[in-house]
Amino acid sequence: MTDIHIATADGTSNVLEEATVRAFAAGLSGPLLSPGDAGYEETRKV
Amino acid sequence: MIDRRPALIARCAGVTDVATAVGFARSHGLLLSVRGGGHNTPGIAVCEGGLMIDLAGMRSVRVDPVQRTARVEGGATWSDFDRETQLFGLATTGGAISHTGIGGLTLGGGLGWLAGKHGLACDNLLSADLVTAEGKVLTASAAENAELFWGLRGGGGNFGIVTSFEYRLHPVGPLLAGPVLYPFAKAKEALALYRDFATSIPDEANTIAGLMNSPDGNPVAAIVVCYNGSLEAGERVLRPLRSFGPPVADEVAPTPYCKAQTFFDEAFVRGRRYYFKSNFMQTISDEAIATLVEHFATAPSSMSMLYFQQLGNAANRVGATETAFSHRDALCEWGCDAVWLDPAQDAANIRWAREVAEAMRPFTTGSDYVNHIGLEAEEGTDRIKAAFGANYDRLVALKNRYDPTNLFRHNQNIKPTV
Repeated sequence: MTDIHIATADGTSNVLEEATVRAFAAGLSGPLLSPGDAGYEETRKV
Repeated sequence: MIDRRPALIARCAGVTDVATAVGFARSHGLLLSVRGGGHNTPGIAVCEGGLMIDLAGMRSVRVDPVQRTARVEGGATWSDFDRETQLFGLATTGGAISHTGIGGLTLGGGLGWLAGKHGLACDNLLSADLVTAEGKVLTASAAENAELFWGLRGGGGNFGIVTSFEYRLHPVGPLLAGPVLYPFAKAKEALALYRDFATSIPDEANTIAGLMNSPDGNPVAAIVVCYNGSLEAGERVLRPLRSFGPPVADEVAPTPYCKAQTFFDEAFVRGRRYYFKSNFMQTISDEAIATLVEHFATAPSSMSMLYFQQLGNAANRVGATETAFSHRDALCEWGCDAVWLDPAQDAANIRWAREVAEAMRPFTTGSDYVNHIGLEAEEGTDRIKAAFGANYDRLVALKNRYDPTNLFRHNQNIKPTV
């Protein structure tokens, strides 16, 4: 995992550092997916 | 047609995950979307480049057959729900396509086969647990956070992420249900029959009528009916539909409720291209019928359909301000479901749907069903306001209280004013 470019609510974008994302993922019981991860493509399809 | 790519997807395993993800989105100011069943055609569940909270791992259903209630997690579909409640011969109003999520459908109101006798899905909601924009976990019911409970029953996903719903259940045995198909040459007469039938039926019945192509490729008028009462009484009530014509097909038969919930599943499988237009109607005039029949003949795709979906007698008896769903005086929703496969045909099919909608506009209330519209950028502010009708200002006040920064904006958005 690397730093993540992510859209913000005000229409701009932000960069989340890898450590921040890892800490977020560690706080979840379920998986945190990003592009390229198994299950990502299936989950984003509606 | 929805091809958005969130930067992160949190596949939540429980309420704590949801609260954690909401807190992360809030603290970093992220664009946030919430996926329950993922059924909304404009694709509000998936945001571009932001954080998507996915509830698909939260689908448990617990039925209390004595109290006739069910507690269901927010990622469940009606298929999940019906399978468990029907084990006890129970059900509640829940759409007409089994893979619809319970969350989105209920929060937007929730039309369905049982609405004639039991009202909308939201009318059967007893309580809801949700995670607010602040990350608090609240219960909303008639006795607790009552104003929030009012807003959850038709206000969409504007006030938080509902992690579980508690519903009132009703005995629902085999229905007398199915489609009756008439030749397209008699479409106007069949839809006029439908109009007269829908305005005089008992609570046990609810209906959808439409123009579509039969499985063998022939255009037909169809009246699909579910009668939730004694089969003998149902035979009498449905006789006018089954003797008219004669029909080219009559598939009305005693039907398990779970099967009736799948009547339209094959028409809305994932992977096809969809574009919907719809509005509520208080009456169905001969001119409205003629307009639909005329435009169906010009549909670019044989997979598309035009329809009327009845609100239901019991749903009509609820006051317009009793819940956030305000369209209680509507006889039905008319809809244009453009469905096709080839991306090269996008423009032709979208144009057709828009043309039908424009032609039908004079016959409608001008208000959409919240669940059939999408983001403000696509629908426009006025259309979203109209979908909430006379309750909009009260919903804004609720939004100001529970989500003043508009964290939950990737939806049919009620904008806060604080």
